[in-house]
Amino acid sequence: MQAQPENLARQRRFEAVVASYRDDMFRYAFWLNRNRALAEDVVQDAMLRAWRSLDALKEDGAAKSWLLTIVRRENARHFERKRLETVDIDDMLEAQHALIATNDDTDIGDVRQEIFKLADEYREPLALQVLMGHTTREIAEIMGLKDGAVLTRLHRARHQLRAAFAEEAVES
Amino acid sequence: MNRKEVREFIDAAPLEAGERYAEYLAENPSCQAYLDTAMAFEKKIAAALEIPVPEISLPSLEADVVSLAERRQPRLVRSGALWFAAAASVVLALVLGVRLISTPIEANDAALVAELLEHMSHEPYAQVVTSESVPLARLAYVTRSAKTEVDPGLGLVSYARTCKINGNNIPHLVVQGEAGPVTILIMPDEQVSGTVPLESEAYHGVVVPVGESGSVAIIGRKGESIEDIRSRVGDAIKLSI
Repeated sequence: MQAQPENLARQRRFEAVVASYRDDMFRYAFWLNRNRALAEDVVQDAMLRAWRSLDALKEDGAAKSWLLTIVRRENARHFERKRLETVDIDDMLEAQHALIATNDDTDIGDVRQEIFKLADEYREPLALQVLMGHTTREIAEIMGLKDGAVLTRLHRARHQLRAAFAEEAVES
Repeated sequence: MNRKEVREFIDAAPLEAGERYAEYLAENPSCQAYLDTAMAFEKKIAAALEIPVPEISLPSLEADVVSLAERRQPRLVRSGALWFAAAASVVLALVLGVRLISTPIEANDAALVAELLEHMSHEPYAQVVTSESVPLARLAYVTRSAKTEVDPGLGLVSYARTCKINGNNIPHLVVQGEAGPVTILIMPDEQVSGTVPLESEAYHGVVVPVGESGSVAIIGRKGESIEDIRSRVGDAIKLSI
């Protein structure tokens, strides 16, 4: 296939846009579905989708939100398409925690496990806020919610995390 | 604004709270201390969310010239030029079935079979009956790293991902067979002593030697005609050496 100049320019733009946010796309996908392998699949498909609809991105400055929205849709498509089996949360925790275990201190590992246990509706806005640096308004736009609903979910997410550590402190 | 309102906002959005309630916090040390505690916990949440990221290559864009509608066709019938440019390298077609089944299975073969069966249990979402194929670009991306070529004769490829077997990255494909999805694991670095049968409660299949030091596993559900898939694999998959 002979590359046309306009195709080359488009490809360069795509590579510049995506290269900056690949890590964010993966981490977001991972915290959506809690599965590294599936997150890689979602990111690959999201990149293809982004390539095909690159012309819809009017300003490169808006690329991050645009890409994360695509990741979100692709993740949903995976679940619709594959009708993923329900996975036991404890099995998932054990398997996935082993996969993402690093040299973090115990505290961080414990927090990560508790984030794993959060319901999707709480885990997602938390990742968007803390990891991606999005404001409440931006999260509301990505998730199709009102600002108040986002704040409620974030409040509940942190409440659950803190409650888990309060329980641990009591137990120990 | 009151203390309850501020603290609830801190619990929801501590970073935004500092700016939004700057004046109030300056005059209310206990709420400022509450925010400081929240921010300390926030750092742990942020560190916990920062999981390690694998190397993610950009997709092969040149192969992605099919439309989304086209990609949903059940059969992967495309222009030959789309699939692969003529390979300049020596290409070894998979020669399947030329060796007799080895009995008993050698220890290395048995270990490989055990790892393959365990791998099957790790990816249940690959085992889906579907008429939807993966995008060509994804298939090309996955197979390229193993210097593997797949032509349309393989049929509908419903899943394509790079997986690890014995520490090596290998293409994991799934095609649709008569009894359901059939897994094809292309392993350029996994040598077997001969054609090795593979059996478990849920699956059966074979691992067949390829070239000097590689093999391909073909694993289907019980009742699947592995021989048919094996024949398709032999015709459609090529390894460049």
